[in-house]
Amino acid sequence: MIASALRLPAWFDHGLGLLLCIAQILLLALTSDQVGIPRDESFYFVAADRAADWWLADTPQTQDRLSPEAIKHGFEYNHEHPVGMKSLFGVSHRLLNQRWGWVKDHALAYRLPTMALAGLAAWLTFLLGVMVHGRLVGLLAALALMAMPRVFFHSHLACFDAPVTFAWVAIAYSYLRAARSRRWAIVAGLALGVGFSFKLNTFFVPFVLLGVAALDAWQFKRRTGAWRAAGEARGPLTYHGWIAASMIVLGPLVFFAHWPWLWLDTAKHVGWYINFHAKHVHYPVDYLGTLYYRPPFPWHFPLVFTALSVPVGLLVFGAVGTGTLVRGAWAAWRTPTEQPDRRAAEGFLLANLLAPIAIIALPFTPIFGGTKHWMPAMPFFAVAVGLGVVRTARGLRPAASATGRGALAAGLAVLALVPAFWATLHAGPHGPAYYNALAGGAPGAAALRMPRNFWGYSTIEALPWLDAHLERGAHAFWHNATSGAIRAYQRDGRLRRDVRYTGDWTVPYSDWAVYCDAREKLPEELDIWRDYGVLWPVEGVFLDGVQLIGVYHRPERAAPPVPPGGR
Amino acid sequence: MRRMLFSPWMLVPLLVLASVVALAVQRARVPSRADWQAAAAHIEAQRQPGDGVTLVPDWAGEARLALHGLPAFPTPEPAQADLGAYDRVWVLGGWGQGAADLAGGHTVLSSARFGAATVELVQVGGDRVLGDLRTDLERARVQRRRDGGRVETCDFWDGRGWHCTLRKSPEATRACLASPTAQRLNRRRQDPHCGLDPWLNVSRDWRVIDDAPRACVWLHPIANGEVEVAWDAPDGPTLEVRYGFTDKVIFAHDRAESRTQPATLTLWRGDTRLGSQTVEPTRGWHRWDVPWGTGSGPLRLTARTTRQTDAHLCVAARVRGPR
Repeated sequence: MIASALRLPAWFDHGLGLLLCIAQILLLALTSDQVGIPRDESFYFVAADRAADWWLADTPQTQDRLSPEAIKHGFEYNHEHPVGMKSLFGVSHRLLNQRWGWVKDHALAYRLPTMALAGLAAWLTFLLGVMVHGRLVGLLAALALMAMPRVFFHSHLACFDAPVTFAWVAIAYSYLRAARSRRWAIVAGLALGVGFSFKLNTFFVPFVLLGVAALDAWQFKRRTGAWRAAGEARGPLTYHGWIAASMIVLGPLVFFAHWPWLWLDTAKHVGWYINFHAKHVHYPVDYLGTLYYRPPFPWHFPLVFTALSVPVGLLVFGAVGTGTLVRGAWAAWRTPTEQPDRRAAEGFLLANLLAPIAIIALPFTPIFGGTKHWMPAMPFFAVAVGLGVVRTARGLRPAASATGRGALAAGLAVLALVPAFWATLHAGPHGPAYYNALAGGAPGAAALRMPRNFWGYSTIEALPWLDAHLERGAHAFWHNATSGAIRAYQRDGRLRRDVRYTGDWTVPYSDWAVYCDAREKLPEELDIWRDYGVLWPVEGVFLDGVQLIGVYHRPERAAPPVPPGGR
Repeated sequence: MRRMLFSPWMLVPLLVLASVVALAVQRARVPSRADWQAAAAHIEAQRQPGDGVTLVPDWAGEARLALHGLPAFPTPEPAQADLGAYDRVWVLGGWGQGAADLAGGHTVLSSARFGAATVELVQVGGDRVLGDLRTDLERARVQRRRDGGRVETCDFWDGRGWHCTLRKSPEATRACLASPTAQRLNRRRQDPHCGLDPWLNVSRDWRVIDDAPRACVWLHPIANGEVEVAWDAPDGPTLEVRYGFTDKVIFAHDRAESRTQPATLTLWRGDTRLGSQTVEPTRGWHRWDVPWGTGSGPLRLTARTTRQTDAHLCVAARVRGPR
């Protein structure tokens, strides 16, 4: 089916991509107030403010930016992650909210850079689809990516998972262009550096692309009989050499340049960063009825999770598309002389789709983050969805005209995308609690004992009720929501400022407890039962009847009675 | 050549269509809050003194809001549910689950449907619980005996359990326990527990043991001595003792290995020693059935260990007999 050479996007394609990008950003921005602040995001808000102090020289400590004090002020906090995104979050908030007042909502102002990158990811996914098959596949791919509830959730947060998803696609896309263009080699190197500045996952991308480059070069050799192109022409080896040089030089350079923390005590700080992630702690994960506290983890974790957390329509067409890619890759492998030069595009898509999943499938990789850790695979899976729709239309009506098949593909796309968009809008703000029809939705996943919470994000939906019902100066124990998250809610007017945050492990010093349902946190719910003397919440947040948040209220305290024989 | 009427490619959109139908069906099976409230109101109107109420499946979170004011108890593991304390239990159900999922021996007396929620009244079969240490804990006597012979009476009741040592007078401790939350929070650093020991006590508790919440009596053993609980248990043919260390100290932690050491539980009736069990630091909610029909005197249960660190032991003791 995929037989023609790669198609380079035209300006019209970029126009369409831009529209998709804007649509994605608008969708995310308009729903930002439905998505709560997980633990990590609240820490990144603080780190972002400090980074903004440095970039904008906004405080006395950061006037002399190159002084160790200024660098420490800007970047010592939360130095386990690079500062590319944190800097963007901070500058966005400082300028759009605090300085210019264009964005009134603080959380949204921090989050806009992530949303912009999620929009760009949709654009690039569209372009990838255009390159490998055409505009229809590109359009379907971008829409499929936008209609994945868990991607939608993470694309809101001032965190790194949506940005690194963008970075992975950007590096991969620029690689595919650079495979036959010297100018794009520079872009590929820069994109890699930008990816490094977002999150650690990027370090895996060059290895994936190295494999694809080797395949491309080898197919060229089998097609032409020589490793190098004849005469003045350039073959893949030449282009890949440039890409490699660019990535080796520009990638680390951008990484080092973007992170002033590394300018101080470089060897020690780089060593610490690598060491931190090489020995990352494991947090418990509930998976199919077993709580995993430490490795080895089941290899099928990312596969089963993906199968249960991507809308079924997308999953089915994605499977068809993946099958199409495998067939295409196999044909290119078996009969390279009969194939056009496609830069090993099928292998490229498959490698980028499978690598993020395969990394998490390794038994010693931390898996606590769930689907977000292999989210970079999703744009490539979305392209597979587009291919799957088009392939199915061709399979159903092989003799139809291109227009007829296009109309049929559009009908199939509606069948897959409408329920997926409905799921995204219904459950997307609760992304980690979303499960597809295969799992039986949120209730089915609860019965399977799959996790549905993610470090306090769902607190936000309990806030209107709490705001209306808590007494003035109420002492609330916020299980899993940090003080930073609660302050952020109060700053944005989502929670009354008189409601007190009692702190971690403070059930005995609270009258209200806002418990985030998670199997590994069950002992903390029992702490509430024990201390409050009640078993049932008075209110909660539920997705299809399944508890995400339980709000408990302590009955009035009273002096304990003296039983017979007691003193 | 005849054209095939059915292309295998038809399976692809059919599969997608089936998933849409499944989604609609799954949505229709979700009981609304109003369904649960109507079901709970029905139980409230119909129940008799001594009836129990439970919820299946346990993850039907929204139903829990409707259980206030009812004699409700959780059943996280329906197949192992112990309904022996009741003659009749109202089972609030959803998603096709209900009384049929509970441990066997029950007879369904009536059933009703409220939207997508169901209510079934069951006549409980099997043994009856004649006495429960956890329920009767206020009437139990607790003491700690050091190996040197020193005996400490644990006779301060904090509302949940018995304490042996107080840092202030009983009246002052009670006043502290009753003080408003704001005061408790302000005094948190100097006096976090109103002078009571948060660990070494014998209290009515809920703990996660063997992956499920267990209603039990916290019985933290001590080193170089033993903790004893004496309970005037009713007569009956069998005493069922359940026990285990909390998951948190056995495997649900990030240490290389558990710090918990074995504990020893010994059971007496009056002065007659009925037996002893070593509680190994392994995962489990263990069961120990002891003939209870012979002899007389109170049940005496002692616990000891060689090391107190993470000795988070919880026990349940029930006298059981025929209905």
